[in-house]
Amino acid sequence: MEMNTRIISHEFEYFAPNSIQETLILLDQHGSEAKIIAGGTDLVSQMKMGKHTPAYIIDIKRIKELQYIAGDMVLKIGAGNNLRGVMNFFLPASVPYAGLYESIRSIGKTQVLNMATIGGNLCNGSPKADTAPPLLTYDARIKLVSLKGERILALKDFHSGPNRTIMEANELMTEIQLDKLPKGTSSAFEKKARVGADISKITCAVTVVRDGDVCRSCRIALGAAAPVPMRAFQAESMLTGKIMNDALTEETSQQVAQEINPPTVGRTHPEYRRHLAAVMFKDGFRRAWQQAGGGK
Amino acid sequence: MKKYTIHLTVNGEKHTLEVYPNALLLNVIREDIGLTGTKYACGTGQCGACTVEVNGEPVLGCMTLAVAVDGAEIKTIEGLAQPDGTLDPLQEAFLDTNAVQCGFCTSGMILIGKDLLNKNPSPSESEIRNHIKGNLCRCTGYNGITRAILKCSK
Amino acid sequence: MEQNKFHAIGRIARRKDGIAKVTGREVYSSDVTLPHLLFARVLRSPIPHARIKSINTREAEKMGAVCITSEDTPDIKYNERQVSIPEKTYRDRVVLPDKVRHVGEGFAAVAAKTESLAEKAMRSIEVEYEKLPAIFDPYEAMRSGSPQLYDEICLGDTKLPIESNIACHREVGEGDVEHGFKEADLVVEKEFRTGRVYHAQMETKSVVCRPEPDGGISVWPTTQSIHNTRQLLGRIFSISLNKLNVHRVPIGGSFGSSIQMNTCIPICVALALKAQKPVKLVLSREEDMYDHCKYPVIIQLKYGVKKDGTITAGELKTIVDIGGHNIQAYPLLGCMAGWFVSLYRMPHLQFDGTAVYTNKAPGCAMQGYGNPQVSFAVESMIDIIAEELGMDPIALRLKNYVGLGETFWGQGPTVRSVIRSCGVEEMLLKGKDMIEWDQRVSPDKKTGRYRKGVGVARGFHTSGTGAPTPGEVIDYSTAMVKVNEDGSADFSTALMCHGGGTLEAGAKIVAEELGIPIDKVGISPADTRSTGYDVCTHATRGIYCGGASIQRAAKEAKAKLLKFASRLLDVNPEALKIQPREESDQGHIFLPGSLEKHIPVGEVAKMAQYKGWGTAIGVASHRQVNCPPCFVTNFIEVEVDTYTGEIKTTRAVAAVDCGTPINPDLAAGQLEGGLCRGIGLALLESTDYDPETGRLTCGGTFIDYKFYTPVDMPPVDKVKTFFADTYESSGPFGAKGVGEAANNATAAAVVNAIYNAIGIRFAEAPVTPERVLKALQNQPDVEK
Repeated sequence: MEMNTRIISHEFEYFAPNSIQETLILLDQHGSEAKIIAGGTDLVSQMKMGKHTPAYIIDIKRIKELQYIAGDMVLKIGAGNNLRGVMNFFLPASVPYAGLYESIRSIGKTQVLNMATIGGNLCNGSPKADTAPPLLTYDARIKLVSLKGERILALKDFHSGPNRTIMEANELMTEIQLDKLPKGTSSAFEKKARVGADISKITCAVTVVRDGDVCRSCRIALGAAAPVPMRAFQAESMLTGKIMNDALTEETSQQVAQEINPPTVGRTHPEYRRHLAAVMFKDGFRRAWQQAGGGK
Repeated sequence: MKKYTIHLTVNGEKHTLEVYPNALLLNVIREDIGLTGTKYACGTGQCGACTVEVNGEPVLGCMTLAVAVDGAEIKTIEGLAQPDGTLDPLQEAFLDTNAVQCGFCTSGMILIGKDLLNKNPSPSESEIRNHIKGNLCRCTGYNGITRAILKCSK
Repeated sequence: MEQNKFHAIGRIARRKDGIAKVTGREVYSSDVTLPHLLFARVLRSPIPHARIKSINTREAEKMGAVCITSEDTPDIKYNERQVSIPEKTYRDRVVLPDKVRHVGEGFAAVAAKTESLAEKAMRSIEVEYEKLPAIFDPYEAMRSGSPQLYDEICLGDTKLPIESNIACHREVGEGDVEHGFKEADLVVEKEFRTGRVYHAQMETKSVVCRPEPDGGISVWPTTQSIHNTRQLLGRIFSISLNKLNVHRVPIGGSFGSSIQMNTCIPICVALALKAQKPVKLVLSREEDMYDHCKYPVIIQLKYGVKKDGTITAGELKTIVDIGGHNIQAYPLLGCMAGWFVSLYRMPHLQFDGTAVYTNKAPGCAMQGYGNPQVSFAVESMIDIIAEELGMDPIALRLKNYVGLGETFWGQGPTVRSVIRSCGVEEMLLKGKDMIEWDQRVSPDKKTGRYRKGVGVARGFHTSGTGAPTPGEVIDYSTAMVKVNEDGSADFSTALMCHGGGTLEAGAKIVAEELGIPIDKVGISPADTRSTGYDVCTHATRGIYCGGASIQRAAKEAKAKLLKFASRLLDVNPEALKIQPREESDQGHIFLPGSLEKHIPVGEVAKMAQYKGWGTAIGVASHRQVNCPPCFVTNFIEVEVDTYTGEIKTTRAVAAVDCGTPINPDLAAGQLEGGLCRGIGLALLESTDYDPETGRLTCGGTFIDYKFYTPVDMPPVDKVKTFFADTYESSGPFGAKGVGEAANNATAAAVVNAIYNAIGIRFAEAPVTPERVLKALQNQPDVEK
């Protein structure tokens, strides 16, 4: 049993850069052998369990440059914001971004919200990352920076496999960008887990743009439903411009169930995940639709 | 591995410590500083028994590198009562509502409950349960603990 | 009633260890620290079944670590659970084995200056394993040709061959069941299963040992029995007991996980003896999860009943998958027979139990010792029968329960007594009103996505294991009570408090008996040198058995005190009474009816000291000759989401017949906690193994092993508790136990509630949402 959750058994060198630039230099030097730590809520567990044994730890928690939320037409969220900060930002008048608020709230553990960062939640690459589905439905973009320059890409292209991302070893995620959502937008997040504070069994985020009885657009994303957090594009297309009715919602939910690619190993049967995906889409859609229509 | 010198103010007392970068805040508090009210129970950030306040916010000591909180103000359960021993009202409430059985989760429960009351002096029962849901108790079924925090809700 | 006369018993008072616990100053085993302390780590097997061919500790020693292997530790077979007489104790393990039988079994250990260094040293040890085929299913294990975990073990000191991995077997019968089934109008039969639940006590098993200059050793362990720990260490290491001192340390939860002398204790002792330095060993969570679990059972249950609901016969066959070691499955099987037989009257009965070894972490007692498992089956079956007969489930229970004046098997066939206090009817009828039972409708009348259902189940546990004759199980307690020279008193006992308030009850018993205020009673620190034998704080015996010994000691101290007072007051001691007086905050001894003849307790004690009469002290070693049932009843309401299969507990009423509740608030807390764990047994918890690797699928951490959080339980005002109004004349001030009873009925009440919600009977726990949904999908009339 090569693990001990009482201590971190392996040795590493520790850096606590004060700026993005310093971080990039360190990443350039040590990238492939380094791990970035922010909140540590995931990495420290992984290190205790011997799943990661980086030779270098680069702690970005002190970098103020990564801690901001600002912007009007494009909302820019520094990757170093802790989850509680992000949650509280979206707290008042949160209708368009309710899904993101709910996803962070579902993580729930107060201490974890204080420690963990939004960047960390995405960068660990987990298909279960709770913030990924709502961000996917907002068509979020992320900014990756290295000494060689920066690139901005869609979040949907970020995850490349279970616990993997397309991020290069010398890159740092600095920002998440959200376009301002059109009038009539609302979103919701649904999560299934065994207990109140748990890793998700499956999650579903729904963002709708509503115009009376017409669904201008609907974006659907799911977590823990495929090797990466995923959008259900085909299901989405079934709703664009449609007058909503129960039959259509039902039909779309079946498409959502079809579209996911649940893992075949593990204790949850893929068919159960598909079933849940359909139910959760319907629940999430109903809530988002009602909120977008001004309540009810 | 290189040792680092860090400065921590724990319950108002200043400490200068030499720590390895892989040392966890929980173990530094328990072993180097000698305050054992903060507990190891799960080691994976799931139970909240290791909760301490760092710069006014509750965090998990078992998931925090000590070196990463260099310069921080830390409060542990031992720092909650007045220096003369007068208990915090929440500590009193824990004694009066049967919130304590084995006591192993109690330190973390009180600190997380206190955090809620600091931010929201009149939480509802569901706000209480939601705020403390990262803290596990195997003995009580949580009713006593919830009642204690409710008792302090204005 | 007699209760009204009590000044201390039944009073709600702050627990004496409370301030230490809310200020972080309570020192648990894992908090004990000593000068020059070394930290230990245990090398544990990554494979489920293997012979250790060689171990090379050279690198570890180079790092300055002290290392031990099977060659350094005594080859003495032991069973860590020491509550049975030796002839009934199955001994199959040694301190460090050369053969491992489950993943996580320790076979070497190191101690070094820091835990990091110990970890590093441990990982440097080179091991050559000879892999052996492993077995994880109890039925497969019993098949001929299956891999054998053991060739032979020891029963007491006698060698006992093991065949087909059967650790032990027990049959108990009365009457002729076949005849009984023939007499029945209805015969029902069903298989039930419960999960391999992990105790998840918050403090992982821990121990600190210090070698003493005289060749002895001092130990600060997590344990429920300091004396059994001492005796077993003495036997293993051939140390005279007077040189072996085991200290009572507060324990961070137990639920049965530390009834035994935990296996980490002798490993730590061996390290300390070799290092000649104090050593500390605190298990990591994953080590702890590979150390113990609740006994999972498969039960085949059959009842015969008459049309009017009278049970004619019952048969229970069980297979218990005990894992890699036999931590006293023999008494477990006896108790399971006892639980079965003592729930409902059966003229003809048969019990057949088999405990089977598999290559998994060993099962041990966990709150109920087979009782929640048996009650899960029996109480489910009672509901099934009620429905078949068209009877109300409560009426059927009232008709058949074993109650007042009837013989009760308590802890199995060798422990029989007659029930002298019984609140079963009261609890069923009052609980029925509180949960609004009469508004319950049958599942076929329910519609919509969310469906609620109400279920009932009853149960009991024995208060200890006492019996009129000595049996297989040891049960007695010792206590000392002395009156101090200021009118306060101290009592000492080796009883443990696991958090439920056993020692608080002790303090109230002393206060009541001596007639002094509760806050004038001190609980003395305890160790094995300064206390008489107490078997163990287990089996719901703390108050009934331990408390009785405390009461006896207090009576003896009081007799002396009154004798001294009688000399000072010139009154016959039999005529004197003691009562606490507020104005002087101590007890006063007085002659009823007289204004002059009174004197404070403190003054008597002080005068006795000045006059050289001695201390008013009492010592008692006491065995209870009964183990009366503390009955329990749970009513639970659940809400099933028929779209997802998720189940929420929305309301509960939990009642106990514990005789006089000595700590009413703490006893209610026991009921609330028992509910939470019982619901977990029903719906959530089990440790599963990967048959490829022999490892826990949850990995051994709380990341994946879940138990309920604050948001999963119903709101505080939706959980109601109450006590039956009974008085057990053989218990201290009328008291029986609570402890284990608190969760014995819960899992059954939950599945009965699920049945009432959706009309589906689940006979296997945990009832996960996925299983619920699957069952719903197979049921055509439920809207999906």
